[in-house]
Amino acid sequence: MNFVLYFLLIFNFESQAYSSSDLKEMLSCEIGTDVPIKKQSALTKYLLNVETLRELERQKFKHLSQYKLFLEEMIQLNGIKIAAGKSRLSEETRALFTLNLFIDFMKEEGFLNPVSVCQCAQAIGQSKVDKKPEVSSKNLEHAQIHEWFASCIKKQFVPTMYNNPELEDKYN
Amino acid sequence: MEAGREVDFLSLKSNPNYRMKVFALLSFVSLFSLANGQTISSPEYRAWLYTNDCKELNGKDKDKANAEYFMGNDFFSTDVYVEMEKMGFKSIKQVLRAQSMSNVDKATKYLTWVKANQSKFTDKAKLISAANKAVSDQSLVRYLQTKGTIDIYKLCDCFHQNRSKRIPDEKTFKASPIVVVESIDLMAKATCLKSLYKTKGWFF
Repeated sequence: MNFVLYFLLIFNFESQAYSSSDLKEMLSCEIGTDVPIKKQSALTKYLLNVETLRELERQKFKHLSQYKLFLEEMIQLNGIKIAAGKSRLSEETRALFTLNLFIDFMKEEGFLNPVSVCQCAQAIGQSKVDKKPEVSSKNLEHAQIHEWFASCIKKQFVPTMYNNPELEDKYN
Repeated sequence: MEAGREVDFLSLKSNPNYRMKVFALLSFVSLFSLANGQTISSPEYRAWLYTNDCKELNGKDKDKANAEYFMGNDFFSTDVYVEMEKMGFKSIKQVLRAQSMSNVDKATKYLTWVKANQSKFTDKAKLISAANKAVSDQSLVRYLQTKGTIDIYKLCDCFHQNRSKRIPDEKTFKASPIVVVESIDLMAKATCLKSLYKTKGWFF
């Protein structure tokens, strides 16, 4: 599990770079080969981020163990695919590869649709900004975005593979 | 030999028939020793070679033998999976899923054991240690075997045959740098896992 946390921290380190961007910029849910990787990485950053996992724990997400197991599998698969590749990938290509693998893997397994989770978080954020105009998108805190992502993951996560009541996380 | 008569060893040793017999005897002993692995001088080679008694894996004490063999040989590692991927193995995802499922299986057994036995322990550390011991044989190998995903006897046999092709004797072993030996082991593991995994119908 340490490996997972290490990976999550790597995704975490850039988080401050977005602090002055607007909501749509911070929470771009676009994916595709023609979309700049920096814009796309925001999506996985919030899904994989250790802060989002902490937020899921705080929100008493009962499938957290399963979600972590899934992340561990995905990260190991990504490492194997990259190590077995014939040529060394540039940082950007590597990030894009990881992102696509993550999205495909999640969809294939039926756990989550990352784009739909992102759009759900975006909608929560938009409604907050609409309700309180003094909360400008410029002073949005990352903690809030993790919170929105966590509640959307909690809502949309389907425990398909490890459906085992013994493994459900119990909170006091 | 008659009683009371001293044997003249010096004259016996100079006898060509005697020398032939001694030579024949020594040759026989050498061949016999070689067949039994007794001429192995390096402990490293001995350690490397004597991990290959696959029969024990199906023997009387098979659970212990399996655990020792697979713990010692580290078949299910990322390095092996990378080689399998390079060899064109298409089911790495399923291998990783098997690993997760075996972890889930182990965790479930652990929790069940703790629930059933926690009243017997006042010390939490002792309870955890006893629970770990109770589920220690629930390894990935056992999981795969019970699911019919891999025949571990065949895997062991394939592995030792495959690497013996590259390192047939102690001389070759000693002449090979450790990285070469490790790489041969890794390739043999990847080749055998790739050919022996029954990937059709996994978990579905």
